[in-house]
Order: sequence, then structure tokens, then C-alpha cells
Amino acid sequence: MPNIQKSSVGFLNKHQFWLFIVAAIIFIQIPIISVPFKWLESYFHEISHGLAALITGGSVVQIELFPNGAGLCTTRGGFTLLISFMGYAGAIIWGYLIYSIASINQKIAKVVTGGIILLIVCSLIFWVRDLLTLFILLVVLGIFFLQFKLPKLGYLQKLLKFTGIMVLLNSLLSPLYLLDGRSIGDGARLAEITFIPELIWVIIWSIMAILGLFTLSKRSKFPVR
Amino acid sequence: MNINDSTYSNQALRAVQGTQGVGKANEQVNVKPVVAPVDENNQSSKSKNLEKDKSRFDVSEEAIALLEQQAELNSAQSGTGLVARGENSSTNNSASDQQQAKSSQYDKPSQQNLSAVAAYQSVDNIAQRENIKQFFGVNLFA
Repeated sequence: MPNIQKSSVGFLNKHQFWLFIVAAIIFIQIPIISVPFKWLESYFHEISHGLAALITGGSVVQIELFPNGAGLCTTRGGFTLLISFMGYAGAIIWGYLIYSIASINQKIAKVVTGGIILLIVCSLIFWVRDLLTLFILLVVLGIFFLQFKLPKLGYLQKLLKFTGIMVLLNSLLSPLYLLDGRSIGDGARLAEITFIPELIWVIIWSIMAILGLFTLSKRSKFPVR
Repeated sequence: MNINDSTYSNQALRAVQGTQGVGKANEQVNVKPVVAPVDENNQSSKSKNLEKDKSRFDVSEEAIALLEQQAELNSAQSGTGLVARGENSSTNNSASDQQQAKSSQYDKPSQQNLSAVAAYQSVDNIAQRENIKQFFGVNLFA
């Protein structure tokens, strides 16, 4: 019996990445439960716009999040091209980083969770100006806070990895919503600035997300403890 | 007070045009008909005068009707619904209110139309947002 248990645990650890992928795909289909994870991806999208604005010398005026998973980041100054690009790209990078850093070590997973909580709190203080966004961000904060308060670090690590995969998968799917025939959103803005069609930008973001998932799947074969 | 058709029409026109003529027109309404001195020899002229007076009143009533119509139109346009009326104004008011209510119900746009208008206005909001964005020098990233 112990041998069977050991082998099942070994199987779970070995194929953990793919199990997370399958679980995340199922999770995304569930109507109400998937909503906070959409908000999570939306938050990382908007905060990426904001951080890009800050890095390029601009400032963030306001971040707005909406229940349907949409968001709005109001910035002043900065490099518009990079700020526009970093919305979807940033969410992909966040998902990738959350998963890979959480894979390194259980303690590091806790530090990462603490860092994200700090970022959300700072966003709440400096950039949130309406009640709806406040509520959505509190829910997002709650997800990370619950993870942070988990008694076993092993659970925290696994949940954080799952969160990373959810963000990454949502980041893979969300640029596809830009292909609606309307010239609205980051793709349209980039097309306006660079004269490169919106479709190309959507393809670039999709490739980035697929590459991220592919790299994580490769790394999951050689797990770091 | 001599009233002729031309002054009436002018005043009525001014009243209709919403100038100062309204007060004058009201004055004319309150003026009693000038009674000519009793004179048997002037019976025919009296009857002529009466006819003349009648014709004057006819004209004045028309003018009143015109004024009232204009006032109703104005009140309907402004949405106040307050119109100075005569003695039977209350009954007229209730009747016209009912009529207005009916017509407003009839004219009330459907929910579908309202949502269409809302969608149209949201497009207008996009333009406004764009204006504000340019005015304040901020960028919006969705």
C-alpha cells in the first residue's frame, strides 16, 4: 500500500503542470468561480500598463476594474507604445513569474504571495478611485491572503502555481477578444501607433503566452525543490 | 378705445411670437364693448356698431384662442404645464392632462428603443471621454 501511495504522489508531482493546466481549463468554464480569476488577470493586465507607465517616466492616474473582467488604466505621460503593449504581455509575464518563482521554494512562494499582497494594497491606496474597483480588488486580495494564511506551505506553493497557470491561461485567451471587428483596445492603439495590424499584435501576445506555457512545461520535467 | 383688426392682428402676432404683446392682448379681452349713445335715429348705425362689436369680439376670441394655443404649445415644450386659464381652467387642465398623459404614454419609447438610445449615448460618451483625455493629457488603456 505505501508503495501505491508513493507512486501516486510521484505521478502527481511528475505531471503536476499538466494537471494544473487541465484543472485551470475546467475552472475557467465554471461561471461564478472563474470570475475572481478573470479579475485577477484583469488586475495584472492593468497594473502592467501602470508599471510600464511608471518605468517610462509617466504616472498612473487611476485603475478601474469591471465585473465582466474588463479594466481601464488611466496614465499620464510615459512611452505609449510600451504602455499599450505591456497590458497583455505583462499579464503573461506575471503568470509565468508567479508559477516559476513559486516552483523554486515553498518559502519563496510565501515571499512572492506577500509581495503581491503588498502590490495590491498599494494599488488600492494610490490608484483606486471607485467602489466597484475597490470591491473587485478586495476579492483579489482575499485570494492571495487566504493562500498566505494557509497552515501548510506546500498547499500555498501549489495554490500559487495554480494561480499562475490561471493568469497565464486567461492571458492566452483574453487577446482573442480583440478580434471582434471593432478597433478598440490595446491592439487597435498599437496598430494606430505602429501601422502594424491589430491581428499581428494579437498573434504576438498569443505566441508569448504559448511560449510561456511551453517553457513552464519543459521546466516542470526538472522540478526545483 | 378704438380697436381695429390690424392692431389686433399685430398684437396677436406679437403675442404669438412671444414678445410683449401678451399683456396688451389680455387688456383687449377685458375691454367692454363701447356702447353708443341711445338715439332712435341711429338705430341702424347702432345695429351696425353692434355687428361691428361682435365682429371685434369674434376676432378677439380668435386671438384668445390663438394665444391659448400658443401658451399650451409653449408649456408643452417647456414641460411646465402651467398655463393661465379662465374660470373653467381646472376642468380644461384635467382634460388636457389626461390627454397629455395618454399622448405621452403613446409616445413613450419602448424598452428596446431606450436601450438603443443608451447605446447611442454611450458612443457619445466615448467621444466625450476622448475629449477629456486630450484636454487633461491622460491616456486610457483598456
